[in-house]
Amino acid sequence: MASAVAVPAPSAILFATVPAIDGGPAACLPADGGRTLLERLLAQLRAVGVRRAWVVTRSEWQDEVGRAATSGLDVVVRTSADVGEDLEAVAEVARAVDGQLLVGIGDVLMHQRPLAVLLADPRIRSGVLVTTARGRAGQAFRVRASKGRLVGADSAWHRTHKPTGYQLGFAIIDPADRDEIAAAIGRMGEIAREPRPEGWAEELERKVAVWRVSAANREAAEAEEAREAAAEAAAGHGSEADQRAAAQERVHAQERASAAGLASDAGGPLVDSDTVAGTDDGDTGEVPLALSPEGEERVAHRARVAEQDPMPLLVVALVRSGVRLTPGYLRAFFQARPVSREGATHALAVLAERDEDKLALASAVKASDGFFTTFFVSPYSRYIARFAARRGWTPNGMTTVSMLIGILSALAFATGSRAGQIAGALLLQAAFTVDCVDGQLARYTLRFSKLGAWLDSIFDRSKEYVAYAGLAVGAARGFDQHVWTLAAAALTLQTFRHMLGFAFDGSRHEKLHALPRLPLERSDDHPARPPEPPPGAPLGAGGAALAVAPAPAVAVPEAPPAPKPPLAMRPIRLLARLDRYKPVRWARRIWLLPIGERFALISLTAAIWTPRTTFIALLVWGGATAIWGVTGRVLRSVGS
Amino acid sequence: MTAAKMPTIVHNYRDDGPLATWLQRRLPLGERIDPLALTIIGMLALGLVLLSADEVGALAVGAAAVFVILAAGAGATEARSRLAWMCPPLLRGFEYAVIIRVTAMAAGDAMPACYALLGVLALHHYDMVYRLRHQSAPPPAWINAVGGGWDGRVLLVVVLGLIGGDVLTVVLIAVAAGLAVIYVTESVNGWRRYSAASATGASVDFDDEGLEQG
Repeated sequence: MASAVAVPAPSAILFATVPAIDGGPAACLPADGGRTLLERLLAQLRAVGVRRAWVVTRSEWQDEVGRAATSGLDVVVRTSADVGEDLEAVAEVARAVDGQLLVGIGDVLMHQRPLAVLLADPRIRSGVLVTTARGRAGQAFRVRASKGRLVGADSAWHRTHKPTGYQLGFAIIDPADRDEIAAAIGRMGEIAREPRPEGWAEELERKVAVWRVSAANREAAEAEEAREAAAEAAAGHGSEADQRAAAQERVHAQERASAAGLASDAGGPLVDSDTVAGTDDGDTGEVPLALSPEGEERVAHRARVAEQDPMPLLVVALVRSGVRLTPGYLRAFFQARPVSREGATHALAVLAERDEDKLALASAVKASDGFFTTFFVSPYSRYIARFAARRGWTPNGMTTVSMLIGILSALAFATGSRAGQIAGALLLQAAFTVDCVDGQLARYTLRFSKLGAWLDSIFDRSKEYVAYAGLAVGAARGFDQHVWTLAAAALTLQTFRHMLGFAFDGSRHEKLHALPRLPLERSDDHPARPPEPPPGAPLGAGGAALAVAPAPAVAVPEAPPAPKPPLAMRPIRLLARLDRYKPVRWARRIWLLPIGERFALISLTAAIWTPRTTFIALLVWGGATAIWGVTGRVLRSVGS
Repeated sequence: MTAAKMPTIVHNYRDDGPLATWLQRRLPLGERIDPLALTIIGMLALGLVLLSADEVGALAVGAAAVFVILAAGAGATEARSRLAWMCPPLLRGFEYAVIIRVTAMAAGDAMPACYALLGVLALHHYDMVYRLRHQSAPPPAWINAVGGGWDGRVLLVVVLGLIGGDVLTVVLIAVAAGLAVIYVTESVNGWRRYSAASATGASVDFDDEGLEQG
């Protein structure tokens, strides 16, 4: 057990089961350099270390797919009749391979890096590629994440409540979870065969109805736009700036559309309003719909795709297998699922405009960080990270350098002179910058290590408390202040604040662990909702997002009032609502005094005033934030 | 606590010493009374005694014993209260505060030594959390026993405060130095063992700074 065994190379299984709009497998649509989408993807998989691949397709496409699947990889093509058999094939392959198994769609055009991250990021053992950006989601089905874990997913026949993002057709299965996951996928395969469980057909019907509504809304919006453009052209006004803005908007819309993969088929913006969280529960009722023949065909094709794509079902099986499933985010990278030649061409053009290295560097910056770090450090520290990467410096080396600079800073503070205070302040900022670089370097070069993450955290705390000690020594030597008690109090307060977060997260983590496992047959995962959705279910939070679409032609029924949340949760909900406004969100983050702000506060107060001021500032601000933190977390615990 | 029952994450964060563990078995108060209330009552008892006098007296030792009995018993179960997670941070903050207060009363000049001890304890307490996070396992149980736990340290400091400032100063320095060596050595060895086993453990990306929470 303790012997260091070479890690087996990852394998992959891809589906070429989805039809293109003009017939044939979408995976065999042309990509670049005479390759098909599938060939391009297989080459990418090889580049990220995958050594064996299976491609599952329908029997009528076996030859076509077989020709495409002759890249440098060891590729086996298998046929399967339907999504149920697709899943059984995955279960079989999963049991047969030793390393990681990447499962995904073959009809995709995307950057390579998100796949590399799925394989390399140690925070993702078993996980699913997702996005929270509606514009990048195309026609993807939704997922629900909670506390860094996927807890719900849609498929053509399943429905998750309160979705938080979209699944993008790729899942990674860790060898440790293999048996549990293979069992769940195999069972889902059996269940998904005809005749399907009760409620499944109704759910698909409901979805198709929602797709028709959104298609109708889109057509109405396009018609409206065309009318406006015509009117404007006729009136002959509209300044140059307006025209530029309009042109820009068209480019934007095209980009979104190509992310949806159907760009050229649709010939217009294709952000599916039904994938907006808000229309999640939108009941279509008996509203008569007028849809153009092309619109009808698009909806029909979408339904065909949904019935032939086993990935959403697989994701539902993963979520309900009880295995801890981590979301891996697409971030700014590009992904599209073209269904026609024109769509593929267009998507390729968009892809060519996006510099993958630049995006990789941008994505090396933590997605959610403090204000000071985000605006005053990360913008330039990422270039230091790239510089370091090109010289082959290691993240752990940078972490150690950062600690050493931190010690130098404490020594400077300990001199007790004004010059020493200023030097200490600057060195502390330098240490913090290098500290940001190490994480960015690790994410940029995909050189993650658990030891590195631990070292980073431990050194962060050490730097801060060593700086306190340096300040206390300097105060006694140069400022005739005896602030050791204040220093000890500041250390106590900061440790308490951290521990508060750790313990609260720990209790939440356990709550999630204790989630009931839903049966795979169950279509709807809402705990309270009866199997049949009531008419006119709540519209939810997406109303604002919907409002950008001009004048929907079909009204979504009025929502009944939502049940009132428990009293304790009301302030929390209110804050969450306020958080939608960016300045509020940033103000709240600054107020929480995270590490960047804390180090800035230490540097600033030490450079200008004396150590006593620094400690008093830390104690007052930190104390207020601690009270805030206790209150918020207690309310959450009591209210949920 | 029985070996069959897996300690929860929150329980792991308590840093109970041998005394507290023994008390939890013999006097599982937390199974009957709200654990957070027990902890707070214990903290009030010792806190008020320490704040109301200028020096550590016999009363303080008694109050410290009451605090340890109540707060240790509170850890008998986390299942009973939705707010049981508040106990570890309170134990942490209160333990450090007691060490500071007793040092200030008995040996004001020993505050740098007190700071050093707190720094070493903080290192251990963060290590507990980060090891659980990055290795999927907390540090071995013996390390908590060697450190004495919050219970052992609170009692020791209060008793030393009663005995005298000189003894307290010497012990603060000795304990800080001794624990620093033990904690660092154990942590390094722990990582050596873990790397050798090269197991792929779960890692949870918690948010250190609680940015996403109120």
